[in-house]
Amino acid sequence: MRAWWVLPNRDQRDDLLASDGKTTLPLRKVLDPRLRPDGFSHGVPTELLAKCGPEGFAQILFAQRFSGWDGDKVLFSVATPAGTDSSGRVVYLGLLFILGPHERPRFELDEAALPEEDRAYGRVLIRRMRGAGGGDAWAQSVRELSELPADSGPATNVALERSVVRFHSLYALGTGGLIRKTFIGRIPRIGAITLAILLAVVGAWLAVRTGVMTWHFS
Amino acid sequence: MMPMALTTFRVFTLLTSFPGVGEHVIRLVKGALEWWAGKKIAVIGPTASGKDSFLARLQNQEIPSIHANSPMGERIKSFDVKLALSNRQVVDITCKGVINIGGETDYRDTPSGWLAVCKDADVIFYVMTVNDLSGKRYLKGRRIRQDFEWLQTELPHLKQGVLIHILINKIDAKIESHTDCQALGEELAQELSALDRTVRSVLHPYEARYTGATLISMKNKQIYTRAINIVLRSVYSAFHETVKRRKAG
Repeated sequence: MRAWWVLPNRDQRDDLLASDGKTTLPLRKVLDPRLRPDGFSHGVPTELLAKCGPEGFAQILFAQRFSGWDGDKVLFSVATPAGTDSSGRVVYLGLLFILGPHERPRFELDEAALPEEDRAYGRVLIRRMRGAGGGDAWAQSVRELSELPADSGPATNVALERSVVRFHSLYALGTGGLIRKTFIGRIPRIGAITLAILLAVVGAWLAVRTGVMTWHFS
Repeated sequence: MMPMALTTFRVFTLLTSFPGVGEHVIRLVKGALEWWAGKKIAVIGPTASGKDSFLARLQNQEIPSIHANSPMGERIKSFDVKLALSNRQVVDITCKGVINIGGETDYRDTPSGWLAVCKDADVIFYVMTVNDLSGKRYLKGRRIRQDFEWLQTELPHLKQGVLIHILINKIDAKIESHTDCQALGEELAQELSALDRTVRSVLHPYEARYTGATLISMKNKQIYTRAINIVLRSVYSAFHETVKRRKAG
């Protein structure tokens, strides 16, 4: 497992920065933009910020998982809003992991290596990810994402409506907060169509059978 | 200092009458309305240059209240732009399949990044700031220049005949920090001329795709409205000139 902090772009730099706890370097040196999976995000999608509103920013954790990346590796990331930049725009602090096919992320990076203004956000992020649940639905959704089978496709902890890429996700953000999707909601589209056809056939068969029985009775 | 929005707008109006700053405020060439109808546009540029604000203005919305560093490509619902011109005519532009994306070089160089945004566009708006202009960030090795080089490399992969227009945002802040309109006009004329030469040389042999640069403010609605009128005319005018030259040649 290799892990990096993805630092908030507070100074509106042209390059995003990453830190392994010892060295700070451009993110592109860790993750070549040309190899970056479609839909990769260094922060929280704007649609989630809009849905939660400023009062809910501190709760948001957005995670992505790309299996089969660069061979059989898994790319896993989690990000949270981390204050604002020099123009007052929301910026993010993230954790990026490059994992083996069956590895799970371990949240061991030390926040002490972060710039002072990012440290508190780092401490909270690590604490939440190490926590055993206890009502933190966002952290729970990230943990469940990290436990998906090795061969699952691109996935996010929470469903997105405006993403350019279609992601599998276990949770959806509703008016009451983060909610686990129902079984039906998690069936892939083709599966749902097959199930609907099957139900229609069974329904038709039952209708015919009932009709036959009715005829016998009469 | 000129803090009032109206004053800022008046200075902007004055500036656009300066030679080299706004002499391209040309009459609306016949056919521009038809030409713009249904055109697809792409918006790219460095981080914090005003891309989100431009998209909001195009949708006739105020600058987003939740302003964030865009972290990934996000789809924006298709929308129609109805731009009222000063002669009471209206231009309709269709923005279909719009993708909003970050300005960091990470997103420029990702295959699903800027290239995906620009792929089907008829007109690419490159948004930079007036500080990028006065800081000469278009010189060799610097960010804006690298973006132009990226455009030059990618142009063969984009829609044939795609046009590029530069929007130089945040002119309102520049105006408000100056007291001498004449001096500001002269300074801008010099900087715009240097930018123009650079863009044309970097984009070679595709320099004909470049339709010019326009000073704008996404924040100041009056300036935005006037500037976008100039932009529409400039882009069409440049297109028209190219067609005329091609026919003559």
